[in-house]
Amino acid sequence: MSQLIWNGLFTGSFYALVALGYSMVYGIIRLLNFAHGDVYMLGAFIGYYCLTLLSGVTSGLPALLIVLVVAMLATGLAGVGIERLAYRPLRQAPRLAVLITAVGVSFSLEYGVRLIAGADPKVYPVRLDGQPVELLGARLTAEQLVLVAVAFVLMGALHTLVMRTRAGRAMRAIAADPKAAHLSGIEVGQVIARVFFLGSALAGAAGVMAGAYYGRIEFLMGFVIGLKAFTAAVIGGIGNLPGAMLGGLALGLLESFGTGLTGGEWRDVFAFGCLIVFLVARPQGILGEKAVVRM
Amino acid sequence: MSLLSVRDLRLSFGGLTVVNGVSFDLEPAEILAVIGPNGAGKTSAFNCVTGVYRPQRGSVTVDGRPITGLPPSRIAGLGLARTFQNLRLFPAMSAEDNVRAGLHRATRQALWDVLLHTPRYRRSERESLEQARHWLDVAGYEGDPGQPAGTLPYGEQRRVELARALAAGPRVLLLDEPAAGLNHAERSGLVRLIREVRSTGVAVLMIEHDMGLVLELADRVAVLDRGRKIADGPPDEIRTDQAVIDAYLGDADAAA
Repeated sequence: MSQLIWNGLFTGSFYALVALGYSMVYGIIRLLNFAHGDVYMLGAFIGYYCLTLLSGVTSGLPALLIVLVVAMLATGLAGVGIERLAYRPLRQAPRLAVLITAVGVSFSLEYGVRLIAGADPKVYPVRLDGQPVELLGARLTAEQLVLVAVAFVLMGALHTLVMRTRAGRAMRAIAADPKAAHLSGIEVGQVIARVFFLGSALAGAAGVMAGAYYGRIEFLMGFVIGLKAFTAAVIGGIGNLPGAMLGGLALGLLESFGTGLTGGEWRDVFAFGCLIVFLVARPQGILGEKAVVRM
Repeated sequence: MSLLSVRDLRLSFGGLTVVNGVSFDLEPAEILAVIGPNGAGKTSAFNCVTGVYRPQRGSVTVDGRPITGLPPSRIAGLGLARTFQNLRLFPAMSAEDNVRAGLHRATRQALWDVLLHTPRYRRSERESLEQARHWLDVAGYEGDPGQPAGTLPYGEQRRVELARALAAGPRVLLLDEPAAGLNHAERSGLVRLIREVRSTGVAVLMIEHDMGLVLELADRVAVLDRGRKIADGPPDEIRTDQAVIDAYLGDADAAA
């Protein structure tokens, strides 16, 4: 039982990190960024190469934390580049054009990485298989605990950034009314670039964590998690940041319990069944629309 | 050289010319009211000045510096701030955060200071909050500064929008129908506020249908009709101008 909760929290925190970026981008430019899951994949691969480079110098958790920061910076910049090249030229275009472009960016990232890294799965150089400890009946390692803590710290930092800083207020203002924000002196383009940086950096962090957790990465790993993050964002209320965190964690726990009840092959059925239920019964999500905090 | 100078502005959408060769100047501490029947092109002219639309012809200069074609955020940075005919607040954000959006360009926060919560970051947050509350006070806001703007009564929303524009520290304040929907007491509060703003040297450009307010406040009145300026002068002159009377004849709304 508590093992299921723990597993759910762990995968749920990846989902939440990826869902945050999804939700932020949707909130600010009303785009479902289908390439977002692939930024997560990109993070995992950047982490893989950095860890390989570092392998002689340091290993284990310290190496992982250093690589986490590097991967976040790199994916953040990649996100800014994607926005600059693919989405910004389409700022005035119909939304469908941007959506199709996002699918194109997704393929470009997937097969770009395949071209460089090859199609075979790679074994992650760092595993979270230290000495397991028993905690309330669940077996977990100190490394896992640290990663979940890091995920929560990142989410908390993002929340503070959005709610209590100049940049965050600009983001919320643009999400509410881009034209009025622009006329109030906010450089809309710059703020959108920042949103892409933050969202992509969080996805990159999740990618490295997932690599270390599952131990195996490949170039298509972002596809399903992109859909899961989308599900999480919808469950929480898309465009709503606390909702994305909540939705991610809820989805992780749900999957974990579902798998516990019926076996691993039903995992995705639970996730997407959940998406369908929400789209039919409560399309605005748990915290959507009525929530005070939207961005 | 005037503070704001608009020359031969022309804007059309497809075959429809909504602003056709409009020119006017604005000096510091001057109140210029733009009046005219509905559809005369007043708001469109405003939108050309603030960078929402790019006019096909003509120029807008601030202190002799051309601003046509600049993005609205840059134009705001040069000292133009505005309110809207139909309020455009950020409804989910608190009243004070709305005003802090107007302070955006005046606030500086480095990423490191934010991430590490340095004293510098905390000071800048505190100062922007104090300033936001100050401008809310100036605008006569009486509600809770932490309340989401979208849930405020209409009169308070107008004050928040005014406070947001004032917080940007404008040299030209553009008001699009500031008295629309205000009751008698709110209206006299607005008159006091506009006079106060002007006394600090800020120029005010306002579109207004309330002729009483225009005659009471404006130093000069420009009259637009079907995209053209048909008169420009002190209120007393405008009142007796035959072209103006003709433009308003048969337009019951504008006489109200």
